[in-house]
Amino acid sequence: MKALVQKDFYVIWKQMRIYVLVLVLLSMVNSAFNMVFLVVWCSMLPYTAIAYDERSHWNQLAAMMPYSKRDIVLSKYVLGWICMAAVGVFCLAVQAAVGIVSGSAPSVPTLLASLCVGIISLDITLPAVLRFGVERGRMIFMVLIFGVMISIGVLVDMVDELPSLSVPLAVLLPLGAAVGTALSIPLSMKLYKEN
Amino acid sequence: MNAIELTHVHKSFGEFAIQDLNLIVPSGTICGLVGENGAGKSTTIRLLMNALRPDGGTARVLGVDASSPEFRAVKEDVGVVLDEAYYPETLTVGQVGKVMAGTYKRWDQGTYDGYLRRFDLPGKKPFKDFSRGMKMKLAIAVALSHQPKLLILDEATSGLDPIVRDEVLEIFNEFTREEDHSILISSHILSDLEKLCDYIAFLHRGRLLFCNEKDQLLETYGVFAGTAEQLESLREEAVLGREASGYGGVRALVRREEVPAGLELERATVEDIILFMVKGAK
Repeated sequence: MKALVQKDFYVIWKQMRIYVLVLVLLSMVNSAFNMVFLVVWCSMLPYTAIAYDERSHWNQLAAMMPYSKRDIVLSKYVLGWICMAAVGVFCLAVQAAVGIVSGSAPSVPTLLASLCVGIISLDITLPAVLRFGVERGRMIFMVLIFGVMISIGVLVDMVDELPSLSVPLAVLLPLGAAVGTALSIPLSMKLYKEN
Repeated sequence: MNAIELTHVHKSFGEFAIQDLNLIVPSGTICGLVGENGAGKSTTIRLLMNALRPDGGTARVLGVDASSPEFRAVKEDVGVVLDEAYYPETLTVGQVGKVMAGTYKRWDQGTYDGYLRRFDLPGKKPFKDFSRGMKMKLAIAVALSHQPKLLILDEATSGLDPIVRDEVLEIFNEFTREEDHSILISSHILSDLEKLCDYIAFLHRGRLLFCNEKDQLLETYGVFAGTAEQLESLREEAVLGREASGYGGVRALVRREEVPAGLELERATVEDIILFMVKGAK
Protein backbone atom coordinates (compact mmCIF):
# COMPACT_ATOMS: atom_id res chain seq x y z
CA MET A 1 0.00 0.00 0.00
CA LYS A 2 2.95 2.31 0.69
CA ALA A 3 3.82 2.19 -3.02
CA LEU A 4 0.29 3.20 -3.99
CA VAL A 5 0.28 6.18 -1.62
CA GLN A 6 3.74 7.13 -2.92
CA LYS A 7 2.44 6.98 -6.50
CA ASP A 8 -0.51 9.20 -5.58
CA PHE A 9 1.81 11.75 -3.97
CA TYR A 10 3.91 11.90 -7.14
CA VAL A 11 0.73 12.30 -9.19
CA ILE A 12 -0.81 15.12 -7.13
CA TRP A 13 2.46 16.92 -6.47
CA LYS A 14 1.82 19.60 -9.12
CA GLN A 15 -1.63 20.32 -7.68
CA MET A 16 -0.12 20.37 -4.19
CA ARG A 17 2.29 23.15 -5.12
CA ILE A 18 -0.62 25.54 -5.72
CA TYR A 19 -2.24 24.18 -2.62
CA VAL A 20 0.85 24.85 -0.49
CA LEU A 21 0.85 28.49 -1.64
CA VAL A 22 -2.81 28.97 -0.63
CA LEU A 23 -2.09 27.06 2.56
CA VAL A 24 0.76 29.38 3.59
CA LEU A 25 -1.36 32.49 2.95
CA LEU A 26 -4.54 31.30 4.66
CA SER A 27 -2.89 29.59 7.62
CA MET A 28 -1.34 32.91 8.71
CA VAL A 29 -4.81 34.19 9.58
CA ASN A 30 -5.99 32.59 12.80
CA SER A 31 -9.52 31.83 11.74
CA ALA A 32 -11.67 28.76 12.28
CA PHE A 33 -13.12 29.10 8.78
CA ASN A 34 -9.68 29.08 7.16
CA MET A 35 -8.65 25.98 9.04
CA VAL A 36 -11.85 24.07 8.20
CA PHE A 37 -11.62 25.24 4.59
CA LEU A 38 -7.99 24.14 4.22
CA VAL A 39 -8.49 20.72 5.82
CA VAL A 40 -11.71 19.95 3.92
CA TRP A 41 -10.14 21.12 0.65
CA CYS A 42 -7.24 18.83 1.43
CA SER A 43 -9.61 15.90 1.99
CA MET A 44 -10.44 16.19 -1.72
CA LEU A 45 -6.89 15.57 -2.91
CA PRO A 46 -7.56 11.81 -3.21
CA TYR A 47 -10.11 12.65 -5.92
CA THR A 48 -7.39 14.34 -7.93
CA ALA A 49 -5.32 11.16 -7.63
CA ILE A 50 -8.34 9.05 -8.64
CA ALA A 51 -9.01 11.35 -11.62
CA TYR A 52 -5.43 10.81 -12.84
CA ASP A 53 -5.83 7.05 -12.31
CA GLU A 54 -8.99 7.10 -14.38
CA ARG A 55 -7.42 9.12 -17.15
CA SER A 56 -4.45 6.77 -17.48
CA HIS A 57 -6.52 3.58 -16.84
CA TRP A 58 -4.04 2.81 -14.07
CA ASN A 59 -6.48 0.37 -12.45
CA GLN A 60 -6.15 -1.98 -15.42
CA LEU A 61 -2.42 -2.17 -14.81
CA ALA A 62 -2.79 -2.30 -11.03
CA ALA A 63 -5.01 -5.37 -11.44
CA MET A 64 -1.99 -7.17 -12.95
CA MET A 65 0.28 -6.27 -10.03
CA PRO A 66 0.47 -7.78 -6.55
CA TYR A 67 -1.86 -5.20 -4.99
CA SER A 68 -4.99 -6.32 -3.22
CA LYS A 69 -8.24 -4.46 -3.81
CA ARG A 70 -8.11 -3.64 -0.09
CA ASP A 71 -4.75 -1.89 -0.58
CA ILE A 72 -6.03 0.07 -3.56
CA VAL A 73 -9.09 1.33 -1.64
CA LEU A 74 -7.28 1.96 1.66
CA SER A 75 -4.50 3.88 -0.05
CA LYS A 76 -6.99 6.61 -1.04
CA TYR A 77 -8.18 7.00 2.57
CA VAL A 78 -4.58 7.01 3.85
CA LEU A 79 -3.64 9.65 1.27
CA GLY A 80 -6.50 11.86 2.48
CA TRP A 81 -5.63 11.32 6.16
CA ILE A 82 -1.93 12.09 5.63
CA CYS A 83 -2.72 15.25 3.64
CA MET A 84 -5.20 16.48 6.25
CA ALA A 85 -2.88 15.73 9.17
CA ALA A 86 0.06 17.43 7.45
CA VAL A 87 -2.03 20.53 6.73
CA GLY A 88 -3.35 20.59 10.30
CA VAL A 89 0.15 20.40 11.78
CA PHE A 90 1.39 23.06 9.35
CA CYS A 91 -1.51 25.41 10.24
CA LEU A 92 -0.81 24.97 13.95
CA ALA A 93 2.88 25.66 13.48
CA VAL A 94 2.25 28.81 11.38
CA GLN A 95 -0.39 30.11 13.77
CA ALA A 96 1.88 29.45 16.74
CA ALA A 97 4.65 31.42 15.01
CA VAL A 98 2.27 34.27 14.12
CA GLY A 99 0.91 34.14 17.69
CA ILE A 100 4.36 35.03 19.09
CA VAL A 101 3.97 38.44 17.44
CA SER A 102 0.20 38.94 17.67
CA GLY A 103 -0.29 37.26 21.04
CA SER A 104 -3.10 34.97 19.81
CA ALA A 105 -2.87 31.25 20.53
CA PRO A 106 -3.51 28.57 17.86
CA SER A 107 -6.76 26.72 18.38
CA VAL A 108 -6.18 22.98 18.79
CA PRO A 109 -9.91 22.20 19.24
CA THR A 110 -10.67 23.98 15.94
CA LEU A 111 -7.98 21.92 14.23
CA LEU A 112 -9.37 18.66 15.66
CA ALA A 113 -12.89 19.65 14.62
CA SER A 114 -11.59 20.48 11.12
CA LEU A 115 -9.91 17.09 10.86
CA CYS A 116 -13.13 15.37 11.90
CA VAL A 117 -15.14 17.30 9.32
CA GLY A 118 -12.52 16.44 6.66
CA ILE A 119 -12.61 12.74 7.59
CA ILE A 120 -16.42 12.67 7.55
CA SER A 121 -16.43 14.40 4.15
CA LEU A 122 -14.00 11.76 2.83
CA ASP A 123 -16.11 8.96 4.37
CA ILE A 124 -19.25 10.20 2.63
CA THR A 125 -17.81 10.87 -0.81
CA LEU A 126 -15.09 8.25 -1.41
CA PRO A 127 -17.39 5.21 -1.77
CA ALA A 128 -19.38 6.95 -4.52
CA VAL A 129 -16.24 8.20 -6.27
CA LEU A 130 -14.62 4.75 -6.17
CA ARG A 131 -17.76 3.14 -7.54
CA PHE A 132 -18.87 5.66 -10.14
CA GLY A 133 -15.69 7.56 -10.92
CA VAL A 134 -14.77 11.15 -10.14
CA GLU A 135 -17.26 12.86 -12.46
CA ARG A 136 -20.37 10.92 -11.52
CA GLY A 137 -19.17 10.56 -7.90
CA ARG A 138 -18.97 14.37 -7.60
CA MET A 139 -22.52 14.65 -8.90
CA ILE A 140 -23.69 12.25 -6.21
CA PHE A 141 -21.75 14.28 -3.64
CA MET A 142 -23.45 17.49 -4.80
CA VAL A 143 -26.88 15.84 -4.68
CA LEU A 144 -26.11 14.67 -1.14
CA ILE A 145 -24.99 18.13 -0.02
CA PHE A 146 -28.05 19.78 -1.61
CA GLY A 147 -30.27 17.11 -0.04
CA VAL A 148 -28.86 17.86 3.42
CA MET A 149 -29.07 21.65 2.93
CA ILE A 150 -32.67 21.50 1.67
CA SER A 151 -33.63 19.18 4.54
CA ILE A 152 -32.14 21.62 7.05
CA GLY A 153 -33.96 24.51 5.35
CA VAL A 154 -37.28 22.67 5.48
CA LEU A 155 -36.67 21.80 9.14
CA VAL A 156 -35.89 25.42 10.01
CA ASP A 157 -39.12 26.48 8.30
CA MET A 158 -41.10 23.89 10.22
CA VAL A 159 -39.76 24.76 13.70
CA ASP A 160 -39.02 28.31 14.72
CA GLU A 161 -35.93 27.39 16.64
CA LEU A 162 -33.62 24.40 16.19
CA PRO A 163 -33.31 22.36 19.39
CA SER A 164 -29.87 22.70 20.96
CA LEU A 165 -27.67 19.62 20.78
CA SER A 166 -27.58 17.63 23.98
CA VAL A 167 -24.29 15.96 22.95
CA PRO A 168 -21.43 18.44 22.57
CA LEU A 169 -19.65 18.72 19.20
CA ALA A 170 -16.42 17.65 20.92
CA VAL A 171 -17.97 14.17 21.22
CA LEU A 172 -20.20 14.20 18.18
CA LEU A 173 -17.55 15.04 15.58
CA PRO A 174 -14.91 12.43 16.57
CA LEU A 175 -17.67 9.86 16.96
CA GLY A 176 -19.03 10.76 13.54
CA ALA A 177 -15.54 10.48 12.02
CA ALA A 178 -14.88 7.08 13.67
CA VAL A 179 -18.28 5.58 12.82
CA GLY A 180 -18.18 7.10 9.33
CA THR A 181 -14.75 5.58 8.63
CA ALA A 182 -15.80 2.19 10.04
CA LEU A 183 -18.77 2.15 7.65
CA SER A 184 -17.18 3.89 4.69
CA ILE A 185 -14.12 1.63 4.19
CA PRO A 186 -16.04 -1.69 3.93
CA LEU A 187 -18.62 0.02 1.70
CA SER A 188 -15.86 1.39 -0.57
CA MET A 189 -14.29 -2.07 -0.83
CA LYS A 190 -17.61 -3.65 -1.72
CA LEU A 191 -18.36 -1.00 -4.35
CA TYR A 192 -14.82 -1.11 -5.77
CA LYS A 193 -15.01 -4.91 -6.16
CA GLU A 194 -18.28 -4.48 -8.06
CA ASN A 195 -16.54 -2.26 -10.61
CA MET B 1 4.85 -27.91 -14.49
CA ASN B 2 2.75 -25.82 -16.84
CA ALA B 3 3.20 -22.07 -16.73
CA ILE B 4 -0.42 -21.53 -17.77
CA GLU B 5 -3.43 -23.81 -17.70
CA LEU B 6 -6.89 -22.70 -18.72
CA THR B 7 -9.49 -25.41 -18.35
CA HIS B 8 -13.01 -25.08 -19.77
CA VAL B 9 -12.95 -21.34 -19.12
CA HIS B 10 -16.12 -19.50 -20.01
CA LYS B 11 -16.83 -15.79 -19.74
CA SER B 12 -19.81 -14.07 -21.27
CA PHE B 13 -20.31 -10.36 -21.95
CA GLY B 14 -23.67 -10.70 -23.66
CA GLU B 15 -22.92 -10.58 -27.37
CA PHE B 16 -19.35 -11.77 -26.95
CA ALA B 17 -18.18 -14.76 -24.95
CA ILE B 18 -15.02 -16.71 -24.31
CA GLN B 19 -16.25 -20.24 -24.82
CA ASP B 20 -14.83 -23.44 -23.34
CA LEU B 21 -11.26 -22.19 -23.53
CA ASN B 22 -8.62 -24.86 -22.90
CA LEU B 23 -5.04 -23.69 -23.21
CA ILE B 24 -1.80 -25.05 -21.82
CA VAL B 25 1.55 -23.28 -22.00
CA PRO B 26 4.29 -25.62 -20.75
CA SER B 27 6.95 -24.11 -18.55
CA GLY B 28 10.02 -22.98 -20.48
CA THR B 29 8.18 -22.24 -23.71
CA ILE B 30 6.91 -19.22 -25.61
CA CYS B 31 3.31 -19.29 -26.75
CA GLY B 32 1.92 -16.79 -29.24
CA LEU B 33 -1.73 -15.88 -28.86
CA VAL B 34 -3.16 -14.85 -32.20
CA GLY B 35 -6.56 -13.53 -33.19
CA GLU B 36 -8.41 -10.65 -34.77
CA ASN B 37 -9.38 -7.53 -32.84
CA GLY B 38 -12.09 -8.57 -30.42
CA ALA B 39 -11.23 -12.27 -30.63
CA GLY B 40 -10.74 -12.42 -26.85
CA LYS B 41 -6.95 -12.17 -26.41
CA SER B 42 -6.98 -9.35 -23.86
CA THR B 43 -9.95 -10.93 -22.07
CA THR B 44 -7.99 -14.19 -21.82
CA ILE B 45 -5.08 -12.30 -20.28
CA ARG B 46 -7.36 -10.56 -17.79
CA LEU B 47 -8.91 -13.90 -16.86
CA LEU B 48 -5.45 -15.36 -16.34
CA MET B 49 -4.44 -12.54 -14.00
CA ASN B 50 -7.71 -12.68 -12.06
CA ALA B 51 -8.60 -9.17 -13.20
CA LEU B 52 -11.79 -10.81 -14.46
CA ARG B 53 -13.60 -13.70 -12.84
CA PRO B 54 -14.64 -16.48 -15.24
CA ASP B 55 -18.27 -17.62 -15.32
CA GLY B 56 -16.97 -21.18 -15.38
CA GLY B 57 -13.76 -23.19 -15.56
CA THR B 58 -10.40 -22.61 -13.92
CA ALA B 59 -7.30 -20.60 -14.72
CA ARG B 60 -4.00 -21.67 -13.18
CA VAL B 61 -0.80 -19.69 -13.45
CA LEU B 62 2.53 -21.18 -12.30
CA GLY B 63 0.55 -24.00 -10.67
CA VAL B 64 -1.74 -21.76 -8.59
CA ASP B 65 -5.45 -21.18 -9.13
CA ALA B 66 -5.87 -17.56 -10.21
CA SER B 67 -9.00 -17.16 -8.09
CA SER B 68 -7.29 -18.34 -4.88
CA PRO B 69 -5.95 -15.93 -2.22
CA GLU B 70 -2.43 -17.34 -2.83
CA PHE B 71 -2.47 -15.94 -6.35
CA ARG B 72 -1.50 -12.47 -5.16
CA ALA B 73 1.96 -13.84 -4.27
CA VAL B 74 2.20 -15.46 -7.73
CA LYS B 75 1.79 -12.03 -9.33
CA GLU B 76 5.31 -11.28 -8.03
CA ASP B 77 6.53 -13.88 -10.54
CA VAL B 78 4.55 -12.56 -13.49
CA GLY B 79 5.66 -9.60 -15.59
CA VAL B 80 2.78 -8.12 -17.55
CA VAL B 81 2.85 -5.68 -20.46
CA LEU B 82 -0.59 -4.59 -21.61
CA ASP B 83 -1.51 -3.02 -24.94
CA GLU B 84 -0.90 0.42 -23.41
CA ALA B 85 1.47 1.29 -20.58
CA TYR B 86 -1.24 2.83 -18.32
CA TYR B 87 1.10 4.68 -15.93
CA PRO B 88 -0.23 7.99 -14.61
CA GLU B 89 0.86 10.66 -17.02
CA THR B 90 2.76 12.89 -14.63
CA LEU B 91 5.17 10.17 -13.46
CA THR B 92 8.76 10.05 -14.65
CA VAL B 93 10.66 6.79 -15.19
CA GLY B 94 12.55 7.45 -11.96
CA GLN B 95 9.30 7.75 -10.03
CA VAL B 96 7.91 4.63 -11.72
CA GLY B 97 11.03 2.79 -10.52
CA LYS B 98 10.52 3.99 -6.94
CA VAL B 99 6.85 2.96 -6.96
CA MET B 100 7.70 -0.46 -8.41
CA ALA B 101 10.45 -0.93 -5.79
CA GLY B 102 7.69 -0.69 -3.19
CA THR B 103 5.40 -2.94 -5.22
CA TYR B 104 7.58 -5.95 -6.01
CA LYS B 105 9.58 -7.73 -3.31
CA ARG B 106 12.29 -8.78 -5.76
CA TRP B 107 12.54 -5.46 -7.60
CA ASP B 108 16.03 -5.09 -9.07
CA GLN B 109 16.85 -1.40 -9.51
CA GLY B 110 20.11 -2.26 -11.30
CA THR B 111 18.26 -4.28 -13.93
CA TYR B 112 15.69 -1.50 -14.35
CA ASP B 113 18.37 1.17 -14.76
CA GLY B 114 20.09 -1.11 -17.29
CA TYR B 115 16.94 -1.35 -19.41
CA LEU B 116 16.36 2.40 -19.16
CA ARG B 117 19.86 2.96 -20.59
CA ARG B 118 19.43 0.22 -23.19
CA PHE B 119 16.11 1.69 -24.33
CA ASP B 120 17.44 5.24 -24.07
CA LEU B 121 14.56 6.40 -21.87
CA PRO B 122 14.90 9.88 -20.33
CA GLY B 123 14.89 9.93 -16.52
CA LYS B 124 13.13 13.22 -15.90
CA LYS B 125 10.63 13.53 -18.73
CA PRO B 126 7.00 12.97 -17.64
CA PHE B 127 5.32 9.89 -19.03
CA LYS B 128 2.74 11.98 -20.93
CA ASP B 129 5.48 13.33 -23.20
CA PHE B 130 6.64 9.85 -24.22
CA SER B 131 5.95 8.45 -27.67
CA ARG B 132 3.98 5.20 -27.81
CA GLY B 133 7.19 3.29 -28.45
CA MET B 134 8.85 4.84 -25.38
CA LYS B 135 5.81 4.03 -23.25
CA MET B 136 5.93 0.39 -24.33
CA LYS B 137 9.67 0.25 -23.65
CA LEU B 138 9.06 1.50 -20.12
CA ALA B 139 6.37 -1.12 -19.58
CA ILE B 140 8.74 -3.83 -20.85
CA ALA B 141 11.55 -2.55 -18.60
CA VAL B 142 9.25 -2.74 -15.55
CA ALA B 143 7.98 -6.21 -16.48
CA LEU B 144 11.54 -7.54 -16.72
CA SER B 145 12.95 -5.90 -13.59
CA HIS B 146 11.32 -7.88 -10.80
CA GLN B 147 12.77 -11.29 -11.69
CA PRO B 148 9.60 -12.77 -13.20
CA LYS B 149 9.27 -16.39 -14.25
CA LEU B 150 6.42 -15.72 -16.63
CA LEU B 151 5.92 -12.83 -19.01
CA ILE B 152 2.43 -12.04 -20.26
CA LEU B 153 2.62 -9.62 -23.15
CA ASP B 154 -0.44 -8.12 -24.78
CA GLU B 155 0.59 -6.40 -28.02
CA ALA B 156 3.85 -5.46 -26.31
CA THR B 157 5.77 -4.92 -29.54
CA SER B 158 3.20 -2.77 -31.32
CA GLY B 159 4.32 0.82 -31.79
CA LEU B 160 8.00 -0.10 -31.69
CA ASP B 161 10.15 0.60 -34.72
CA PRO B 162 11.56 -2.52 -36.45
CA ILE B 163 15.05 -2.12 -34.94
CA VAL B 164 13.83 -1.79 -31.36
CA ARG B 165 11.24 -4.52 -31.97
CA ASP B 166 14.00 -6.86 -33.03
CA GLU B 167 16.00 -5.95 -29.93
CA VAL B 168 12.98 -6.52 -27.70
CA LEU B 169 12.33 -9.92 -29.31
CA GLU B 170 15.96 -10.81 -28.59
CA ILE B 171 15.44 -9.79 -24.95
CA PHE B 172 12.38 -12.06 -24.77
CA ASN B 173 14.43 -14.85 -26.30
CA GLU B 174 17.18 -14.30 -23.71
CA PHE B 175 14.53 -14.41 -21.00
CA THR B 176 13.48 -17.95 -21.93
CA ARG B 177 17.03 -19.28 -21.78
CA GLU B 178 16.29 -19.99 -18.11
CA GLU B 179 14.47 -23.29 -18.32
CA ASP B 180 11.63 -22.31 -15.97
CA HIS B 181 10.92 -19.02 -17.76
CA SER B 182 7.89 -18.81 -20.05
CA ILE B 183 6.11 -16.24 -22.18
CA LEU B 184 2.55 -15.81 -23.40
CA ILE B 185 2.55 -13.13 -26.07
CA SER B 186 -0.34 -11.79 -28.09
CA SER B 187 0.48 -9.84 -31.20
CA HIS B 188 -0.88 -8.82 -34.57
CA ILE B 189 2.64 -8.90 -35.97
CA LEU B 190 2.61 -12.56 -36.94
CA SER B 191 6.14 -12.52 -38.33
CA ASP B 192 7.35 -11.65 -34.80
CA LEU B 193 5.48 -14.60 -33.38
CA GLU B 194 6.86 -16.91 -36.05
CA LYS B 195 10.36 -15.79 -35.10
CA LEU B 196 9.84 -16.10 -31.37
CA CYS B 197 7.28 -18.72 -30.44
CA ASP B 198 7.36 -22.45 -29.76
CA TYR B 199 3.57 -22.68 -29.73
CA ILE B 200 0.88 -20.79 -31.58
CA ALA B 201 -2.64 -20.53 -30.16
CA PHE B 202 -5.34 -19.12 -32.40
CA LEU B 203 -8.43 -17.51 -30.90
CA HIS B 204 -11.34 -16.76 -33.18
CA ARG B 205 -14.53 -15.11 -31.87
CA GLY B 206 -13.90 -16.31 -28.32
CA ARG B 207 -13.06 -19.89 -29.29
CA LEU B 208 -9.64 -21.48 -29.43
CA LEU B 209 -9.35 -22.94 -32.93
CA PHE B 210 -5.97 -24.53 -32.23
CA CYS B 211 -2.92 -24.47 -30.02
CA ASN B 212 -0.07 -26.30 -31.71
CA GLU B 213 3.68 -26.41 -31.79
CA LYS B 214 4.77 -23.86 -34.37
CA ASP B 215 7.07 -26.30 -36.21
CA GLN B 216 4.34 -28.90 -36.38
CA LEU B 217 1.95 -26.27 -37.69
CA LEU B 218 4.37 -25.25 -40.44
CA GLU B 219 4.94 -28.90 -41.37
CA THR B 220 1.22 -29.70 -41.43
CA TYR B 221 0.14 -26.95 -43.80
CA GLY B 222 1.31 -25.77 -47.20
CA VAL B 223 0.11 -23.17 -49.66
CA PHE B 224 -1.19 -24.35 -53.00
CA ALA B 225 -0.91 -21.92 -55.90
CA GLY B 226 -2.47 -22.89 -59.21
CA THR B 227 -5.68 -22.88 -61.17
CA ALA B 228 -9.19 -23.24 -59.81
CA GLU B 229 -9.51 -26.56 -61.71
CA GLN B 230 -6.41 -27.96 -60.03
CA LEU B 231 -7.75 -26.91 -56.65
CA GLU B 232 -11.16 -28.50 -57.33
CA SER B 233 -9.42 -31.80 -57.99
CA LEU B 234 -8.18 -31.89 -54.39
CA ARG B 235 -10.20 -33.55 -51.65
CA GLU B 236 -12.52 -31.11 -49.89
CA GLU B 237 -11.06 -31.81 -46.43
CA ALA B 238 -7.57 -30.98 -47.73
CA VAL B 239 -8.45 -27.30 -48.31
CA LEU B 240 -8.83 -24.98 -45.32
CA GLY B 241 -9.21 -21.67 -47.05
CA ARG B 242 -8.77 -20.12 -50.45
CA GLU B 243 -8.35 -16.78 -52.14
CA ALA B 244 -8.17 -15.51 -55.68
CA SER B 245 -4.66 -14.60 -56.75
CA GLY B 246 -3.66 -12.46 -59.70
CA TYR B 247 -4.02 -13.59 -63.31
CA GLY B 248 -7.10 -15.75 -62.59
CA GLY B 249 -5.34 -18.23 -60.35
CA VAL B 250 -6.11 -19.30 -56.79
CA ARG B 251 -4.09 -19.74 -53.62
CA ALA B 252 -5.23 -22.09 -50.90
CA LEU B 253 -4.08 -23.39 -47.57
CA VAL B 254 -3.98 -27.18 -47.70
CA ARG B 255 -3.08 -30.04 -45.40
CA ARG B 256 0.07 -31.56 -46.81
CA GLU B 257 -0.89 -35.12 -45.93
CA GLU B 258 -4.23 -34.81 -47.71
CA VAL B 259 -2.83 -33.81 -51.10
CA PRO B 260 -1.06 -36.01 -53.67
CA ALA B 261 2.66 -36.45 -52.90
CA GLY B 262 3.84 -34.96 -56.19
CA LEU B 263 1.90 -31.70 -55.82
CA GLU B 264 4.23 -28.77 -55.34
CA LEU B 265 3.32 -26.58 -52.35
CA GLU B 266 4.78 -23.33 -51.06
CA ARG B 267 5.94 -23.14 -47.47
CA ALA B 268 3.10 -21.68 -45.36
CA THR B 269 3.94 -18.96 -42.87
CA VAL B 270 2.03 -18.53 -39.61
CA GLU B 271 0.41 -15.49 -41.21
CA ASP B 272 -0.78 -17.60 -44.18
CA ILE B 273 -2.23 -20.21 -41.87
CA ILE B 274 -4.10 -17.69 -39.72
CA LEU B 275 -5.39 -15.59 -42.63
CA PHE B 276 -6.64 -18.58 -44.60
CA MET B 277 -8.27 -20.06 -41.54
CA VAL B 278 -10.10 -16.83 -40.76
CA LYS B 279 -11.28 -16.61 -44.37
CA GLY B 280 -12.27 -20.28 -44.28
CA ALA B 281 -14.24 -19.74 -41.07
CA LYS B 282 -16.09 -16.79 -42.62
